[in-house]
Amino acid sequence: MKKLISLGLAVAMLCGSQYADAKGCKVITGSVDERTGAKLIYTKYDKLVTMFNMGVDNNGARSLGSVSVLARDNEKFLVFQLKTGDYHAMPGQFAALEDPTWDPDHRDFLDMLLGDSVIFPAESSLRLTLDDRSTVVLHTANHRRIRADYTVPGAVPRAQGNEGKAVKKLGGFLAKVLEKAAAKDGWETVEEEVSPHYLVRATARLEYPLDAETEALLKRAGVISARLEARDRYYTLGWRNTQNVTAWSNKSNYKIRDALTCVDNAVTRSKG
Amino acid sequence: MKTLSAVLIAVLIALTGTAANAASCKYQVDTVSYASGEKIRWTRWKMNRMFHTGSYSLMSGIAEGDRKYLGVQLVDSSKKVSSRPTKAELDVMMVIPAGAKLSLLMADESIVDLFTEEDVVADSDFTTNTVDSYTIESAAIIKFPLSAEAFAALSTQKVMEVRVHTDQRQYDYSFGKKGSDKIQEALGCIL
Repeated sequence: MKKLISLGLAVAMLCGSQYADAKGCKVITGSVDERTGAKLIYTKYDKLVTMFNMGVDNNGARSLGSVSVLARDNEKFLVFQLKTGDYHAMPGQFAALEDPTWDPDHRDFLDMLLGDSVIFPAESSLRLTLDDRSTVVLHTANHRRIRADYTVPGAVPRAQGNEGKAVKKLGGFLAKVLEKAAAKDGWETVEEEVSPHYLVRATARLEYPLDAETEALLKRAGVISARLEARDRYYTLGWRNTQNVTAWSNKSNYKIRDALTCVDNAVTRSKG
Repeated sequence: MKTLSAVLIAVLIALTGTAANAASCKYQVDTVSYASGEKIRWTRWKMNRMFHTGSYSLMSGIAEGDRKYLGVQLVDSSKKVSSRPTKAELDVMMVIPAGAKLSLLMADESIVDLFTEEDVVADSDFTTNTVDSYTIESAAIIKFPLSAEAFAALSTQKVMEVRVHTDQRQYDYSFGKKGSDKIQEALGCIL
């Protein structure tokens, strides 16, 4: 009986680990590059979460990122899917509020927000900070102009994607705490702070070619944060912890390493 | 029997003492360098949190192989501008050039000067929730190499004041009349 139980436990553990492996390593194959006809193998985007699993602040301007590794011919690329949030003030917007002739439909400005505000020029950098606190810098090969969307000043922005749920949950909890505190102090309501600026959001997909040396390093290293350079600013993926260090959650530190291993295995299988 | 009990109690006390010592040394980084294979240790940053107008700094003892550093994390969120800052402006918001000085006024009124070895450009970003201003926050981690003499000087006395020099200004922090022994504690953890 004891042997049977041990065997059962061993099988369960084996199945469990295989399931975990399969769950943590999702590869997409079968698609080809439209321009070159090269076969593409890539890992499913894996979300880089912070220690609090919060990606969007109350006003929605925090950047979120997911990572994937793409294999194309003999090249490998680190791919970041970046959801950006960024505030822009319309030139003269506030000075003009008192002016009844002011035109809120400022076409040039709005066109700029939509088509010319989120740009990643060729050769712009990605800086990865490793868990030994050294840094690795990669560069994009292609110029990327990202089509954006915007929320007008004063509007409460919708939370993005699944992260919105966490924000909503936390926001709800915090709101209750604040309401209680306010009631205790004799205040009746708590007003939500809303930005007076245009909130511009975009989703960028950025490829960073990996040379053999960097690839070998990232297969060993833990990565704790990333900073992506755009034309007009930097986007930092990470959250300041209590030590004032910008970092992801420990679970996210090895997502790049795991994605590289995952793609390697898939490439080997495809050749076999 | 009594002797055995006494020995056991002594062992327990010794073990508890060791655990307490080990617990007092907490590390932010305790790993091996990917490049050189050297042991790397950074003590936790929460020591010497020195508030100042719009800025603060934290300190850490850093050991990389045989080399020792005093790490200073400098954060400045005092800058406000009326127009959206450009990337070029962010890149020069706080720069600590190679050779920049950190001066520490010790309890015996002696001054220990430390100098950086490499340029450090702070990461700067901006936030805005107000109608007409952007707040810029710059944060940099600066490593000041410690010679044996400097290490010994900092290990034996309290620090009263600290002055960090950047390319544009200096940041002063005071630890009050009693001074601070946090640097001593940090250096004790990277001996």
